[in-house]
Amino acid sequence: MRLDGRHRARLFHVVVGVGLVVGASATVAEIVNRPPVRLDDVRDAREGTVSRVQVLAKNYSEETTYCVEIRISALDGEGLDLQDEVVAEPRQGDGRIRPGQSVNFVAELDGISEQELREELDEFVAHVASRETC
Amino acid sequence: MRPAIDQANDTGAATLRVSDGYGHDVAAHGSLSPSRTPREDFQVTRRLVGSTRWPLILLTAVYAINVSDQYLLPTIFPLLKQEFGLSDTSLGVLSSSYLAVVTILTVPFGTLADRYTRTRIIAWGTAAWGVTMIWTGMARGYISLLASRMALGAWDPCDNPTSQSLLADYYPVGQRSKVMSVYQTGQLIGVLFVPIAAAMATQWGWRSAFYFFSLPAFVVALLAWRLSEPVRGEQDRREQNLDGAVQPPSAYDTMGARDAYKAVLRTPTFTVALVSSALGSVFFGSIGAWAPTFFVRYHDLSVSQAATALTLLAVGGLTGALLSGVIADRLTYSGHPSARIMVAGVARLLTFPLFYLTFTTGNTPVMLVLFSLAALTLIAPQAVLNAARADVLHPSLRGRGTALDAVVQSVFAAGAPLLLGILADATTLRTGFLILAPLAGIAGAILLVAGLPTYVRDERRVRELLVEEARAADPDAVDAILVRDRAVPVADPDHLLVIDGIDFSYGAIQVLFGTSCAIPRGGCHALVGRNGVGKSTLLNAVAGLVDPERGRILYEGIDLVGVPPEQRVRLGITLMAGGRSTFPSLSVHDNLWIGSFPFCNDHKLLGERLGAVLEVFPQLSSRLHQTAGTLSGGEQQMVALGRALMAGPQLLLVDELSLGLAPVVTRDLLEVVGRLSGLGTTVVIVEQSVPVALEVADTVFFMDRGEVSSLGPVADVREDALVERMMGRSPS
Repeated sequence: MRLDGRHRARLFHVVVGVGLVVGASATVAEIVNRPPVRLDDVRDAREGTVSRVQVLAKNYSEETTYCVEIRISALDGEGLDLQDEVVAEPRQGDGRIRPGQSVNFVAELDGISEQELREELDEFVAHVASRETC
Repeated sequence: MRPAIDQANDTGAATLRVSDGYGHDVAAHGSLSPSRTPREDFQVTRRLVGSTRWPLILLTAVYAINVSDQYLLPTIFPLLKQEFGLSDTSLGVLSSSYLAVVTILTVPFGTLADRYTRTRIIAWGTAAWGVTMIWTGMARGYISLLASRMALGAWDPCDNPTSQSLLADYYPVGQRSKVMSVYQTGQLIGVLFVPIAAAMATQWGWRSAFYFFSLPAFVVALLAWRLSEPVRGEQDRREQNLDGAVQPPSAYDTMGARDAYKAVLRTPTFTVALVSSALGSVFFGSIGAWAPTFFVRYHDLSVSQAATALTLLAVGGLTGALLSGVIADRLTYSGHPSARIMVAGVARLLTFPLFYLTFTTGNTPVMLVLFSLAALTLIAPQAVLNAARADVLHPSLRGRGTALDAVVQSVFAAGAPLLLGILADATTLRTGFLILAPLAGIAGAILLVAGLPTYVRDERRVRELLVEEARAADPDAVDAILVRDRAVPVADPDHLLVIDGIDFSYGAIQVLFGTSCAIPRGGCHALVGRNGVGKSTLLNAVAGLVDPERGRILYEGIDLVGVPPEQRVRLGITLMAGGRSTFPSLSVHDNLWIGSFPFCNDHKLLGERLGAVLEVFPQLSSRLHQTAGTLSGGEQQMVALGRALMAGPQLLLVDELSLGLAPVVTRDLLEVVGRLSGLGTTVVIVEQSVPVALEVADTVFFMDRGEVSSLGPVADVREDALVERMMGRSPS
């Protein structure tokens, strides 16, 4: 079926109109619906080629206690791994985070060479690999 | 007759008395000399760029949005890995599949750009891009993500070949480099979106960035839909004054894609530019990928410092792109027809020594300065080469030319990091760079040695082809245009203003019919004729208030057609419109001040000029704060004339000075006009009153039925004969 100019214009405006509404709604939805457990900035210290990485996880929910698994990656400038991800361990307790509480998680990464540390390492990144109520 | 200058000296108007006609003495005393208006900042910016920058802004925005995604994806790699548990290989496939689709589809999109309505291609492509961004944000698995990325790659090429083809038709040929350089900044502006996207992704998740970036895409798509589609080759035909001829079809419109691409490649300048760009891309690609490592390895910068230093590439590139466009257009305007190739070639040639020094110096600050300069010269040629490519390709082949160039650049830039990596492994990174650096120089040398001689030939061939096509469609009209063009010189040393065959209609009523005349430099020239023959329209056309449908108006050799009125004032053309042309609700002071806007930042000159006007019209001194509408008719004309003088015109157009005024008032005003022409201002005065015209003018032009004929010096014109002629009778 071939559309004439007027119908093409109508179709275009519908696509754009719907796109604008969906795009705006989805953006707002993403901003509003944030995960209950969120991580703070990642900090790191280095001894030789061993990097000790620490991140603070906070439970923003008001009622639910979460058990989380946090993993740490070492990335180069293009976002690619310099070594396999490492699971971070809670500094205190069993990794249970109660409503409103924060827990520090720490990991040690020792698979990065000195040259990679000097020339390629861009950042350490932490993420919540799993989150369960407990 | 016009009062002599020495008579003017007796008026007591100090600032007028001391002139030798055009001299510096006058200027030193803050007079009304036409030489005092600062015009050094003036650029002949045509209407499309000067007042309708919209298509350029919009297409640059489309470009910026389109490329932003290419930078966005790597910033969210960590987040994608987290959510989907992806390996590095999977992420690499995401990037590569996108680039592969872009590369494959760029060539067919080039054909689409040459065959279909370009504004619609951009609008649909950008809207589809927005839809695909939302799709990417909604992806729940790797396959869905991969499919959305590949779809995004399908829409990416809708922009570049199409936009460059459009810009070549929106804006005058003489400003093509500048326009392309502004468009080129879109690529660098796209980088600026990355921090926004990265911040959003970090704060609210990677999906929010994709959703959010779809919004500007939909907005610009909507705006692009409303852009008017210019006729293909419109500016090139306009450059040759063929725009009035019948729009001809081109053989390229129906040519098969393969033959059309062959035709593109058979254009020597295009091929030379392509080879040069390919070599430049090898170097550019290796710099982008390996420069941070070089900074870390040889200058002990941290990785984050090295990443920051790499932004110098963008800053230098932005500066280079803009500078090269301006320089190339200025040189072209100054009579260097191959300036676009020359600027690109010299810039690429300079890249070699600059990068050589960058890679060999041990001083980090010096290295960073050299790196910025080298980046400037590395990126500078791109925009001017885009303009040159448009010059040497037929308007119906430009989309395909741009597409071919984009594909070649992508392929060579993509392979460059690997090549440098191999060289670095075999030697050192520094040596690898030093091995590749001469490629930039070779790219420049190729342009200068092979491109310079072919460019003029290829450009002329396109021009001739356009003439042939137009002649095939309408031989009589084209031949008439060619004859007319040969008859009128582009720059005429004896005449300040040359009006050449202009037509103008008010709706269905045509007023000017191929009107031509040449106004000598200096003196006062009267244009007389019956009411309604087009005298005022002619003045309005010179002042830019109406646009002729065809023909040229050459002022100091500059074709004014398309130059906005306000810029004509900066050039030195001022119109004192007919009737009481004051702003009645504004004060006398404000009315006068409005006339001075070309130099409104020069308060000293403004004060001097206001003082000079008040010396000429002392009656206005006590009425500066009175609203102009409450003045008498004569005083209002003084304000109108004073306002015109505030601009320091080189060419003063006066329309019906005497209309509705008492003879004594008219005489006073005429005396001022006469004195002004004695100071070097060329005055053209339109008058219905023959005695008034003959009293002030040096030469007389007669206008009837839209045509102008010169009657010669006023001494040779008999008043009664002129009156009879105006009455429609043959002079006895």
